[in-house]
Amino acid sequence: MPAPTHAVLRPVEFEILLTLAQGERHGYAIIQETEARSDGELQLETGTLYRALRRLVQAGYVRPVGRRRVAEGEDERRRYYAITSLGRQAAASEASRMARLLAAARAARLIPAVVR
Amino acid sequence: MRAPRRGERFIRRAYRALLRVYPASFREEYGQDVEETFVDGYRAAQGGNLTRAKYLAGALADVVANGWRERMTPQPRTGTLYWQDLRYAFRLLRRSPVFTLLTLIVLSGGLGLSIFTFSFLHTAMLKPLPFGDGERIVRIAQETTAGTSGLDAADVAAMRPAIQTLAELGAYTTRDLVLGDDGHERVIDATATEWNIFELTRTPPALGRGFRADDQAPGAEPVVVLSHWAWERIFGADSTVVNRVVDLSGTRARVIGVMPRGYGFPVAAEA
Repeated sequence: MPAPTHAVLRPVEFEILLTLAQGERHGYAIIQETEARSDGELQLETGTLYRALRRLVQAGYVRPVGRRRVAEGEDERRRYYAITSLGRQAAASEASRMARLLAAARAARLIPAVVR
Repeated sequence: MRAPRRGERFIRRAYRALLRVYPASFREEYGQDVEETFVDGYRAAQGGNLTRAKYLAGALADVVANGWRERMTPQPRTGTLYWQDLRYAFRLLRRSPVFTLLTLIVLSGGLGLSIFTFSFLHTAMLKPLPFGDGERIVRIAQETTAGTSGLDAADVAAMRPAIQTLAELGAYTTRDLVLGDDGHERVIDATATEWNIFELTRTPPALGRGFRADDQAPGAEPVVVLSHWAWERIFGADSTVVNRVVDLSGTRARVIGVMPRGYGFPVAAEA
């Protein structure tokens, strides 16, 4: 599903959209999941996360969905963020671009072909 | 509910202060989120003081770097942002009620004082006198090194034939007099004037007559025109008082008229 109208996402922004594509998350959960996905290689800093979130909110890719309890019986609340349909399109467009790059890299024998 | 420990509260407060590196608009939108995410990370950083210290050092570097970068990032300004600014200002004011109250008190005090000053100056100096053609009436006084004082009666008489800028010239002086019949005397603030005072102020008396030129002639009977106030207080608003001879500080004077309510010359003379 190529949608070339979207601007190229920064890696941080793509990571956030990737996490939010699985459901609404609060800030610390985004950091944890991104870290887990990269096997601890990508450690998102708090400031980097929220500056990226701000850009994504301004672009209409992400929207805050209000404050909720983190767990039952907990008094503390966190603000949750959700991906918008526009954000999904942008992330999909970015993923397609990456897939094309990956195919090109395989064709150039930079990485081994996928063994099915 | 997890009771926050003292150390965490302190660190939280310090972090919040540190967040000032970020521009205000960012703090307003994401400050609380950033702080909470920081606390989540701090709680997760278990495993001794070294892990925590490393986490805090990382957080410090993160705030300084990203706050500075955010300040350097130009933000799109739209029309709605002015509304946001306004809301932000109100939120800030609500957050510090003592400061807001103090500011309001100082502002309203200053405003009240300047309104009072202006209205006083307006009444005393700018507004025309409350008589017909009030804006054309001026007061003449002489100014010497000793200050401002009235003119000498002889000077007024000498000035009168030569004056061209004024249509009429009248002289007056004020003094305290005792007015009234037996048992009803009162000290009043009286104005002694030349006969043309009521012509000058374009105000006819409510009862009786005003002064005439022959009242001022040498040997004429002393006459007095009462203010509405004096007529009510001293003579009980008795309309037969006109033409009665009353005692005015030992001088027998005939009451010839009563002025309408609110009239006073030069300010609020009582007779």
